[in-house]
Amino acid sequence: MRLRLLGTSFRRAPVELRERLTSGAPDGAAARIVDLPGVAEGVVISTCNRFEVVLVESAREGAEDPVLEALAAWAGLDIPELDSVAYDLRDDAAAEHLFRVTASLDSMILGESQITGQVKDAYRVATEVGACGRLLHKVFQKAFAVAKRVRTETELGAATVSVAGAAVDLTRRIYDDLSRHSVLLLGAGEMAEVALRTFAARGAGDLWVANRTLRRAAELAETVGAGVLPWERRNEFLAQADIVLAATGATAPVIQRRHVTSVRRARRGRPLVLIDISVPRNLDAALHEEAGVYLYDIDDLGRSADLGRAKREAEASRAEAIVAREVEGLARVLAQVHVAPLVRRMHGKVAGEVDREVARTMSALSTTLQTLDSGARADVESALRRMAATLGKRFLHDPIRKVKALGADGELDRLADAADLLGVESTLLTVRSGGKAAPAEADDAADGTDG
Amino acid sequence: MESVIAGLFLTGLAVCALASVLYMVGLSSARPRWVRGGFTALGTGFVAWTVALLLHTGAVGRLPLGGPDGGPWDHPMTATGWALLAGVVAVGIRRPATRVMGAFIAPLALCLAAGAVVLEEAGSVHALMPDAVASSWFPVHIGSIYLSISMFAIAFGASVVYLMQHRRLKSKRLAREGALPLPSLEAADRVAQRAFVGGLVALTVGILAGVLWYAGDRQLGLDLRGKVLVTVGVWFVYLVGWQARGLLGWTQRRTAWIAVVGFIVLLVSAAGVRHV
Repeated sequence: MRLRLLGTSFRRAPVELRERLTSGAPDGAAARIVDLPGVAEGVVISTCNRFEVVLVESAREGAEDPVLEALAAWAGLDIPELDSVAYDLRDDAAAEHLFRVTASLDSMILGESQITGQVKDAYRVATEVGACGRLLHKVFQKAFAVAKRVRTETELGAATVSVAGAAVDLTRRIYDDLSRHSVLLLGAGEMAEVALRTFAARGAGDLWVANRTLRRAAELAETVGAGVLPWERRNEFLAQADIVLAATGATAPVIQRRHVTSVRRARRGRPLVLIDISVPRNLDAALHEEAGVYLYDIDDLGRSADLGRAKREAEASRAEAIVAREVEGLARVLAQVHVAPLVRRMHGKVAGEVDREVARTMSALSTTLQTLDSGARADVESALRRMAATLGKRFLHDPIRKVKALGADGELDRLADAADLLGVESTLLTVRSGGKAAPAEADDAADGTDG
Repeated sequence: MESVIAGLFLTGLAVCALASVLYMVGLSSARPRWVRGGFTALGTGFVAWTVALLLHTGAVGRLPLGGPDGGPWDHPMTATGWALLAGVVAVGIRRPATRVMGAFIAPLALCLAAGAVVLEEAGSVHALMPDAVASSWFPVHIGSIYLSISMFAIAFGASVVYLMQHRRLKSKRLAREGALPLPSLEAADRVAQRAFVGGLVALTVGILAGVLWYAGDRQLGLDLRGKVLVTVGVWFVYLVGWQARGLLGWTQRRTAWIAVVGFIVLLVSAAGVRHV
């Protein structure tokens, strides 16, 4: 039995092809996968950025690959077409890839947290349909533990990488509790909507939207339960607003320094945060010179987001080291998983031999035993059985001790060899390198989560 | 017992010196780890001094605000240093981001306690004015005044942190790698304002208790006009600083400067009025 990971992601396949795989996969795809010949366990990870199948598979006979064929059929693709964009990883390479994916090291946005939840969902679904067995349970539990280690021991997901996120982080350097401050959004376009949703998601409590078209402002405000402010009242509102976010298509400043100066006393010394994410800029640059006013434009936020991305990349090498160590540790975990069944099989094999040999011996002695009464015959049989069982146990003592030692050392390959030597059926999941590697670098630099 | 108290006092002094160094390295290198170390050392010094002062209070049966039978730990300057550390620890536990203000408080507490050792003035008040300290208003007066100094020191530390964050935000150095995390302007201002108001109340109580103490025993023969003048002047500066935001629309930054300047004036005048 071998661990295998077959799939494709945004690094290899265009979105059209990924869509076909994702939408083509049937409900309960994991259950369909384990119905394929040679597949013992399976989990299907399907997100908008990747489609991957993690399998425990027995050795295949012939050139056919039923899993690849099934995926191609679901997506309505030719096998060579799918094969050209797929990666097919085995054993430790498969485990390493799964660990990297779960820890968000293979995501479009490095360190985004969504993918861990998506892998957990995939694992849960596979478990519910009975497609996830003992070995994949171990592998996925390890993957989640690795993701947790990466998140707690590195700052891979800590830094902000989007402009809207940078705006919120920046605001929090001035107001630490956004729920107690009012936010005025100027504009109702796409950028404004993203910013409004980000502020709402990060706990901003008192949200207001002002736009030249009142209807559009009302529509946007309704999505997050914000208030609507007539465009003409925006400067008057500066007396009570704590944060103003401008994202309009205006070609001239919509708030000027004199507007803020006129409400200075009414503000009673409270800072005013102005964030201008529009191009051309909507807020008078001289506003930053005003006492108690902090003005930031798209470039300021962009620099902050760039730093966040650089920080995440710096943290990625630490995260990769954790993954590498955990892949090594996986062999030990899997070996221990195999030790108990192997020992059981060894005992079972000996018990079977004992039964056969006792039966054969009793049969050979049947003439002699006929002279005895039934109680004496039972005593003889019992004594023979005890002797054979004791011999079997003594014979197994050293091999079992060795097998347990190999399991503790994670020596899966030698464990498989030992099983062969002892003539016990081996279904060991080997952890050896192999397979067609997944690309390390992104083919496209699009922005987005592994959603 | 006295050797134990002395040992704890000196331990607190040494740990406070260590905290000052760690904070200094933390501020200059912008490494949060050093600031955390500084706060831990500061907390250790606070615990050592607390135990020392409690043991001494238990032994002599009165507050360690100066007495004929005390060492440097039985001195108002040491008590003030202890109160400063208490303030930073109390605020820092509730708001970890404000721990950086210990960088300004730890050296101050160290100087106050070291001053008590160097000057060897413990008990001098009792020696000079044995009748004066017998008044029940005296401990209220001294306690309130030193409490106000401690509160103003906290306001000073929080205001310096506020001004650092303000400078960083105004200079738009947002993306500087490895910048020391500072509390938000709102958090620093909140701590500064609460300490500011608390210090003003304590100073008011201290002044009133001092008036009652002095009025109760005019035979003391002390000329306290200079001290009273300076103290009331400081009180007025703080009062204006407190009200200016609401009445005059002053920004938080300007009131932060009032807290910084006011505390420096308070320290200078506290040292100066001893000789007035």
